[in-house]
Amino acid sequence: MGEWRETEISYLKANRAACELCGHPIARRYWGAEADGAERMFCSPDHERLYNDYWLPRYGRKAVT
Amino acid sequence: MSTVIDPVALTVVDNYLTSCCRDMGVTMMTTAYSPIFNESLDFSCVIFDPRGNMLAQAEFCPSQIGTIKFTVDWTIEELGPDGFDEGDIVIHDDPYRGSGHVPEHMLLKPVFWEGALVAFVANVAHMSEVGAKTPGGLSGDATEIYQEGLLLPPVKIKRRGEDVDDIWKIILSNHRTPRVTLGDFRAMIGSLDMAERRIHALIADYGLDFVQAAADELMAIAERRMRAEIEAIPDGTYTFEDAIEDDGITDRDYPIKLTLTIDGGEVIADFTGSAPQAVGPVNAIYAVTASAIYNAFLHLTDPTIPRNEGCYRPFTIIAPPGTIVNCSFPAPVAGGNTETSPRLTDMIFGALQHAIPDRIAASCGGTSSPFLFGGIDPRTGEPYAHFHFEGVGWGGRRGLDGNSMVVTINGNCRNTPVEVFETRYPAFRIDSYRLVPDSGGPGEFRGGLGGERIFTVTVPEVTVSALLNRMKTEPWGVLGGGEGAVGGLWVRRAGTAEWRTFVEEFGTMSPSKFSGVTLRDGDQVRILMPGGGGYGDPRLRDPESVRCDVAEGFVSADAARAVYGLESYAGEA
Repeated sequence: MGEWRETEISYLKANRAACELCGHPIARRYWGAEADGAERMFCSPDHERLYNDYWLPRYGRKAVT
Repeated sequence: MSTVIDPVALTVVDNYLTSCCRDMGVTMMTTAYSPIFNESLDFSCVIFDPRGNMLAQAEFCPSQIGTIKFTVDWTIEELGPDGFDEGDIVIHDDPYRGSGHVPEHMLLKPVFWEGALVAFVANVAHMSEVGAKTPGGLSGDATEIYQEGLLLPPVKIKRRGEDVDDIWKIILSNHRTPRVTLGDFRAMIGSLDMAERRIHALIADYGLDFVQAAADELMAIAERRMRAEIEAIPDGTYTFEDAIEDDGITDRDYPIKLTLTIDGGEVIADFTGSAPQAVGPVNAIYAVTASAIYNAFLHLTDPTIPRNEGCYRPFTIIAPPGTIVNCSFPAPVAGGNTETSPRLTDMIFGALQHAIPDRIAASCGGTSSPFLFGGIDPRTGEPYAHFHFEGVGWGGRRGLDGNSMVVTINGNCRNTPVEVFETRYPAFRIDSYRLVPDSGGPGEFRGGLGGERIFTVTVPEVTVSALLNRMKTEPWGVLGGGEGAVGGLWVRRAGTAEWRTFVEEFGTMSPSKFSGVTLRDGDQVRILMPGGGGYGDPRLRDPESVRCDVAEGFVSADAARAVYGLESYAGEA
């Protein structure tokens, strides 16, 4: 079961977090959920659902970014 | 208990908000300093609720309207819902924090009513000079975003109604034309102030509870109607591929792959498999890619659907990070918003050509034709800079030929009229400006024509840059239609007779993407803008239409014979 979480906005890091499904950059608030055996960041619960229902059947497991 | 709002009142609120956005644009057009504002209209004006939901927009630049959603979202996330005070104005132009590309600056003003935040009004505009490596920005051979201009994360340039002088000083000391920058920003601020007054007036007339309930209902209506439109498209998976040609640094194509899934009222536009991000500035950031998909579906669906957040809810856009459709920091992005964006929109049409042939169009010319220049005005000693763009031919569609020489599908902008161009900028004299015969892709419904502009340098020297696409690969036709003509860019040095490419004359890697080339008095530039693709078999074209095309000079007699098969009409032209 996922939950809404927040990450810190940093001006010191070059790598920025993105939704594991769509690639949208995450500013602060994100939907954190365990999917496919790993903790992942999503834009929303809907994107967690699509990760399981759309992404995995087509492309398989994604490395956690 | 929910409020029941009658349809007439809803329509009044929707039209009021849309009208407010239109008037914001008029304010900017009539009070700005630069022609890119008051002639080209390269800006957009939007209203949001306090949660960042788009409530209304007007008929401005589609790519900006889509991206500003992300810019506002980021701004609210970063500053926090309690991070705004009455009279604040936030500025933001950092693509890696949600904006489209560096030249486009967003200004955002919170609107308060009786001490509570009730809305945001925002505008986004393409500044003609942003402190990039060369005048006008959009440096065609930039290799990182730092070369594309001053980055501004969301910071306040006005706090509680007072200018934040430190921020203004940073901006004005980084732009080559600070006087114009200041004038354009003041126009944007005036537009926001006007919108704030309008929203106050709306709430005063109808009450806050009613306005908020109406806004929520309008978004729900837009979502229902957009989903119904999508449900009318046959379910299925559709694919299409296209490419961006060179990036100003390396001479290679960057393929873009689209897998489009229609499932009931949901759309998934999946760009998995697209090329890794480019070294040069043709990368799109996520917001630009998403915006291009929204743009396509707004073209395909009922234009009377209220243009608000609800329109966008049915869409999921998958754009893997590190690719040309969602590049990673600090890749350059200027051309993503001017060149890659129209390609992505057209790809939706290409993918759906067999599913909804009555609604789609063939490829447009697909380039904003950015040609940038700047220098010192010999009349005043003051610096000048300009982002000049051109129209292209649009694709033919069922029942209609494509438009000729209209700014490409992501822009909805206008070119700079010759008279204004010559008056405002001392650098060039326009020698000719015309449509190019046979540049529209043949078809039952012909592609729109591209154009040609030739101009002569009239100052001792001027610095020019370019970032054009569709110079090598033709705009495609659909359903048997032919390709539109490609564009081109050439220079003829003073005292010579030969037109040469910038590769031949100046050793640039790309013929159409470069920066910082110095031209001198008497040199000439020739820009050729691509045509649009054709729709349907040209042999099915109404003979009378071919006759008219030949008479108007849109189609040559040779093409009428060879392509349209109208032997008997050739001699009548």
